[in-house]
Amino acid sequence: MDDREQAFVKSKELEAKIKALHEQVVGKVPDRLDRQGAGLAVTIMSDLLGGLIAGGVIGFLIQRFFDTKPFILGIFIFLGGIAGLLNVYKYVRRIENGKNK
Amino acid sequence: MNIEPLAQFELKTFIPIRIGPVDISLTNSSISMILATVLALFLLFVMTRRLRIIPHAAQSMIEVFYNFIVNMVYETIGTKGEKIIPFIFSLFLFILFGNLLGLFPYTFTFTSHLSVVGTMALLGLGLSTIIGIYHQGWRWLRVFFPAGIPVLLAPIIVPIEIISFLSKPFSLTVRLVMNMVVGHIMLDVIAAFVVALGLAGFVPLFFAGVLIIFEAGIALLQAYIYTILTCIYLSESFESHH
Repeated sequence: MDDREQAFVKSKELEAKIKALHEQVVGKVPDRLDRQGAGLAVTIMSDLLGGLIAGGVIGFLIQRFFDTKPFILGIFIFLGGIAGLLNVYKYVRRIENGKNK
Repeated sequence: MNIEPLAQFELKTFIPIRIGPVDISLTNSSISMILATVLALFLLFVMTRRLRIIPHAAQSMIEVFYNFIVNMVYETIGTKGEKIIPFIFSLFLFILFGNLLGLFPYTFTFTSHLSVVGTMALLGLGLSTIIGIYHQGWRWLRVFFPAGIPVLLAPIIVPIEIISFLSKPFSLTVRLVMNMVVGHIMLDVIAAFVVALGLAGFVPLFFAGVLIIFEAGIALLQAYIYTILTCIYLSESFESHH
């Protein structure tokens, strides 16, 4: 860990201390995530949608390029849906990790 | 009276320019982009003149924005992400000014166009690939097949991970474009009621006023969300997968 990283970790520790003291004095402040519920919902929705669109576009291109039957498109839309779910899972796991730090 | 809420998103060519097969005409979209860039550069230039240790109001305002981006990069990527702070800061300012400029009458919201936002998202995807290969070499390809998964599952996992990687620019684009388009359609429809209702028009006028303030908040929030998600996607390129 170099000096800058150490300084960053120290500043984060200090921030946590200030937050803890602040909570003692004024009570618990709601978490940033809780206030951004709507933002989170839009993020998750667009992740799901993004997966479907990406799967659809890739499936369509493969189908056009190799001149295959439309079931390739179906398979890729299905895979895209799973990819969207995977993205949501990764995103939520990231938030959970951030909370537990 | 005809209400055409989608007419505001139409491209209008002002000065047609063509180089071979490439159309680089000056449209309302490109003029808005130039305006946003010039305005952002001008404000940065004016606000950072005569820098002081104890900042004056304009300097501290720009410092708040800059620190906000620096902290965002440190928190998502860590100190090794320092080199991309200029890219992230420019991206943030470009989107923020694009969103905010669109709220003024007679302007054009270029962040409501798939081609503009999509190109920025593809730039992020390309950058994340280059950074990944630069930092980890070809081991970066492990992101498509995370460690600890049985090899038998590879034919299923690898396509899903590839689609998941390629879907990121789509979800980034869809989110911003959707927010901008919906917000501006709502504003247009409510504003049309102000004229249509005559004297009773002050009721929708009040709503339009509230909505403009709300949209300004959305403009800031969406610029933030777009930038932080780009940071998160880029952070995966900096992490090593062993």
